[in-house]
Amino acid sequence: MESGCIGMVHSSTTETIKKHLLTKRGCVGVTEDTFLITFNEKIDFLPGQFVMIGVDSHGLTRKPFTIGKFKDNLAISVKTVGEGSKYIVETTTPLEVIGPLGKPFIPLSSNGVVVVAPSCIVEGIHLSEHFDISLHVCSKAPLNKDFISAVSNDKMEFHIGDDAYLQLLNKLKFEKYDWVFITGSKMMEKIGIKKLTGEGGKVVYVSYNEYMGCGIGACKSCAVMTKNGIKHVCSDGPIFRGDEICFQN
Amino acid sequence: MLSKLNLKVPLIIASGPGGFGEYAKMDGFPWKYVGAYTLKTVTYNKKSGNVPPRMYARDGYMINRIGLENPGIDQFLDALENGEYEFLFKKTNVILSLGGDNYQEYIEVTKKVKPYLHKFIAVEYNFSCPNVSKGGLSMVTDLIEWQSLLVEIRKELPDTFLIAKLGIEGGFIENLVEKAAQSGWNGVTVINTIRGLMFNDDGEILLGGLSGPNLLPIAERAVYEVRKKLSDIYIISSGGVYKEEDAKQLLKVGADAVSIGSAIFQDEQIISRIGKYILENLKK
Repeated sequence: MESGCIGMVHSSTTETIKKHLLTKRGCVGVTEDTFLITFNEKIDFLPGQFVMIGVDSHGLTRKPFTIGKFKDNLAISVKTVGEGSKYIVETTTPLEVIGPLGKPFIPLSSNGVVVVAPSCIVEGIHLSEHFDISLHVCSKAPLNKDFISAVSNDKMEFHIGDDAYLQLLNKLKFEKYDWVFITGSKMMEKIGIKKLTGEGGKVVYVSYNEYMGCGIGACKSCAVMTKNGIKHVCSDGPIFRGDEICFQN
Repeated sequence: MLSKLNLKVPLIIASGPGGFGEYAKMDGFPWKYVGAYTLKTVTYNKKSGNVPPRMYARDGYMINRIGLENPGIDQFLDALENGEYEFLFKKTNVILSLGGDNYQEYIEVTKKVKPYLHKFIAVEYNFSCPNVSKGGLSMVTDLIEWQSLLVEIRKELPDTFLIAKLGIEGGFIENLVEKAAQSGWNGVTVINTIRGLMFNDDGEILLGGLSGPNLLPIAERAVYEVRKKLSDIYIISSGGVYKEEDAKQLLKVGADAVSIGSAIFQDEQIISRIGKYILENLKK
């Protein structure tokens, strides 16, 4: 079955897409190449939603970031992978932001757990606090010790290295959670879905990452292949059930 | 027959990046400088588009392989009748973009839109999308058949401002445009994206159409050659416009209007900067 609204503008046309100028409150290193940025301004948003951040002339598209709260401040986490993300981390000028965008995360129950890579740590912290559930931070590289001491709480655990991630998945498989939310690299999500879903398994949610042009449903670039046909990360997601996604080889 | 589009600013949103008018929802979108907004191409049948990944950008290039994802002409016209695009018609002039998989589908979509032409200032036909296996760019591989199609569409729509959207890969573009002019078409949009290949961050190969600022010299040469050969055809220049200077150069080499495409992904305020610049320079 195909998406019933390919390319159509429906009743949501009356909803305004808001623009903001955000000034940085702080920027702390999570790992060598990943940063947590907080802002002075507030945006009304729901868990799971994202914003598109302008990069001036440092890229051809705005960049999508899931928003969250860190110590009650609006925040994003950024992994520097190119000129655009580097600009976002380093600039001292206000950032031009559109959003919130996408559908909020509505889990099937309150009995879940969150697993994130450092690049998505803001979303993890926010979901953990919002739903009052455990957070597992899985990183290939060690995290900044100052950062760990600043964020640690009794609901948060850190797992360093690929083996530690696999061990965590093996453990979660037998714990009595209804669902596991995983966000990080596509490979991390794919492995998580493979390990945890299936007969008698858990519901896995992923916050999907696909290259975006507009972020508002116009360009159709952020397609994701699902069992129900093509969906779009910006308008149908960014969060999808893992068992609905058809991963390409 | 009309030879010019009557636009408050000769600046047009290109078909594709602007979708079906979703930008109308955005705070502060610079409508004052939008002369017309071209809808995403609507084909005879619904298209789901290509499998992901569909886009990637690096340096001065962007590649896309959307594959004309659209609802098909019947669902589109239902939405049009239900007033789903009225918000856009209230903001600016709208250009309809049409396509199909083959000769007959181009004719059929043409017949279907006849009762709705009063809503649009022009109809653009997509003869250049490089991301579909049928239709699009492949329509110009047989030039005799293609010109026959142009003539037949003109017969179906005798009073409509007809625009052929052409790329540089179907032969010398000025020769293609000449055929459109001979067939009674009013204008052309030159150019479309150019077939390219890029590897994304995951090492996946994207075969798609290149756009972005690096296309500007190619678009400029195309406009230059078309204008040299045809003094009267209305030329909408498209490709690589990201700055005021880009628009200035395209107008200087013969374009009547400038089309903004993927640049709106970077910042839609590019429209106001370029629009303002064009208006100020037109006065001189």
